Amino acid sequence: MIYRNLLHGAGSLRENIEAANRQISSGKKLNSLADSPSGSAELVDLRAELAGIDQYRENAGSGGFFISLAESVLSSAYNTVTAIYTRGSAGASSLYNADTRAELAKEVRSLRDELLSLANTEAQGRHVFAGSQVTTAPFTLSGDTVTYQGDLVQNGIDVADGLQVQQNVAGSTVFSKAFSTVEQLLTALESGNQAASQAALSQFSEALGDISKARAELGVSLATIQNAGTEQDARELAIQERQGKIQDADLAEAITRLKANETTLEATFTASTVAGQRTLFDYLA
Amino acid sequence: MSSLFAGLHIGERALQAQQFALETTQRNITNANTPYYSRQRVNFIPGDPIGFGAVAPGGGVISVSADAFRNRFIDYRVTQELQPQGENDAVIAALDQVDALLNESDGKGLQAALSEFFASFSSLSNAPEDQSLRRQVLVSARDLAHEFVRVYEGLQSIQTSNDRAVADTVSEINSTTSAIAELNSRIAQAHGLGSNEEFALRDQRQAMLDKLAGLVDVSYWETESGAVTLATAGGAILVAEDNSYQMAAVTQPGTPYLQIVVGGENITSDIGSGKLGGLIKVRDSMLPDYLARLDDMAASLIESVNTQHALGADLAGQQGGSFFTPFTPLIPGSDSGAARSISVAITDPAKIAAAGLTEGPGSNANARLLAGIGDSKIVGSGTATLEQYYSDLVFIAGSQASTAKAASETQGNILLQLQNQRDSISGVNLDEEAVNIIKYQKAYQASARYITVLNDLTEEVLGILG
Repeated sequence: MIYRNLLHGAGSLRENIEAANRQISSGKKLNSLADSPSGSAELVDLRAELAGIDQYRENAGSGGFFISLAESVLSSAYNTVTAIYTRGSAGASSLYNADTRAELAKEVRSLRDELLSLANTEAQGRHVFAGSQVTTAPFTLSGDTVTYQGDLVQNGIDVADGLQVQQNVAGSTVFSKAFSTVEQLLTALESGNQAASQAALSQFSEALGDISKARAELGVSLATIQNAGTEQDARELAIQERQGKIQDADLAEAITRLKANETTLEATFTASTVAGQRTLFDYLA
Repeated sequence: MSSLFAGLHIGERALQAQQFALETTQRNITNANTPYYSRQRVNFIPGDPIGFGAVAPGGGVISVSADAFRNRFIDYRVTQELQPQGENDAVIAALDQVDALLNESDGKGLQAALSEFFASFSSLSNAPEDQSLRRQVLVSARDLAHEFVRVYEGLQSIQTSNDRAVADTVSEINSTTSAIAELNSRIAQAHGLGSNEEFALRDQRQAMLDKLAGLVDVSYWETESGAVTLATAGGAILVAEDNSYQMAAVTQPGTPYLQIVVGGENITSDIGSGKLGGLIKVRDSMLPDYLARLDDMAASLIESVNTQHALGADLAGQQGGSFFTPFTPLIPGSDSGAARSISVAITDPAKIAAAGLTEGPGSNANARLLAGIGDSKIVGSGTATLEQYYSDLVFIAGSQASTAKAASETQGNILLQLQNQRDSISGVNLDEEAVNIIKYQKAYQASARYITVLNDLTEEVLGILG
């Protein structure tokens, strides 16, 4: 009976020691689903949430790349259109003769080509101002007429639960006014028609307005992404803390438990050697 | 004392009696550590007085016999507690294997594959025309399908190995019941002859009954002949007197797994405990539930993804076809077989319908909706997302394992108490045996002394006569 009790007692002490050892070496207190069924199930949920956060970050990064690219392109485009306007206002003045106006028109054309190249910006195989027709350049030039080949599709990207941001602006809404205005200006400049030049110049505010509006829209997207990122970081931290609470072993506690069980095991062995040794036979001569 | 010679006879019987007692003590001591040995006690029966009159001298010891200490009630309770012990051990062994399949603490597994799959659609939404992102979707989809098959087949192989263990356990049960029937007949014989061998045979039979109890839930009772009758929980007789009725593990139509048959009757559903009960419980109730959950998940995934995929346009502007190979139920209305057979139908990355219908290759409308399926409640009649359904499965498997482990611990403690109690009745106490040796030795010496005295007296009488 002593030996059976010893075996049983030592067995369960050994199990405790092994469990404490596992926790210390793995750093985890959850080593099987049975250790905490609800904790294990919650860990599945938390891991899925973390994966979701990672994906939102990924979207903010690679999806957001096209947004910041478009935003900076629009900033250049704004400057280019402003430069065209400056040339245009100079040409509209009576100080310029036909020769100098032709010179100005040349400059304007070159700036227009620059604008065209900006509007046809391509990165990683995607024309960013083409709507959904990303594989072909959205603007084509014929004479001084620029035509939009893309569509009006706007993509959203998901950057947090239930939160999407606008990823692109359709080129036609951004550049069409600018290109048609520049075309008008060129005709007026080359014909020396001052009234027509003035009329063309008066359209520039609208053309610039379109670009600014698009920049603002993309700016909102970028700001939203940034805010979502900050929130994401906070959420990730909270989830990781919760994960830690569920699965991480309290090392100090585990080591204490290990020591306590080892001591008890030794004591059990000592006690059993004393208790198991003596029978009356030992005292009979 | 009717005569001096009769006295000598009494002395001789006394010597024999003490010697028998010493032998019994010696048997007890040598078997002090023999499992199932029941300590034996010597009964001395005094003889009737011999002669008449005021002084009627004693007749000495007329017989000695031994008795074994057994408490049948405790023996029976031990067997009843061994049954759930065997059951829990079988359940724990199987669920430990399930744990290895479902535990994703290393960050790999079905949940990770699900997350990865839906994330790949979300990544695709950042640049739907991108070939490498499209390829990544197909890679993740194949990984997910593979993961479903891996977990499903893993669970199924636990089921299959449990089925093989059922056959092994049945043959173990049969050899044990045969041994019990054999012991029954020998016990009845020894009992009839009044032979001491009966005690050792009973010890052996108790060991067999304990072994059997760990294998299957049985009840037993002892008949007048000393034989035990054994019956399963459903009343099927396994042993009666010296006959044992064999269990058979056979295949039967309508089920892929072995059925337990006794005397032509299928008693599978009657078996509730013991190792056999645990094996059957894992095979017929726990694992089928897990497998059905995986099938439900796979069928819902295939259905939802295919439906959404057909609402979009691929890189060439064509309406999307089946993303996964459509699942055709083997049994109408059942998802059975979905998880094992899930596969990706698309091989050309350009065929992924990421765009909205009528929109260009850069549209991500459908990719986002496909990614959104991961957050939609599409399983369990619209009550859970795939991930939630899976975490339910993890919870169920975990709590079944933890219940079995807790029960096993409690059972172990109860058994320990009972076995200690059995030992305190049937076990050999060396102190007591030491005292007995002294007692019987002294009695032997005294009897010898008595004979010496009688011998002297007889000499005396003979001297007078001579």
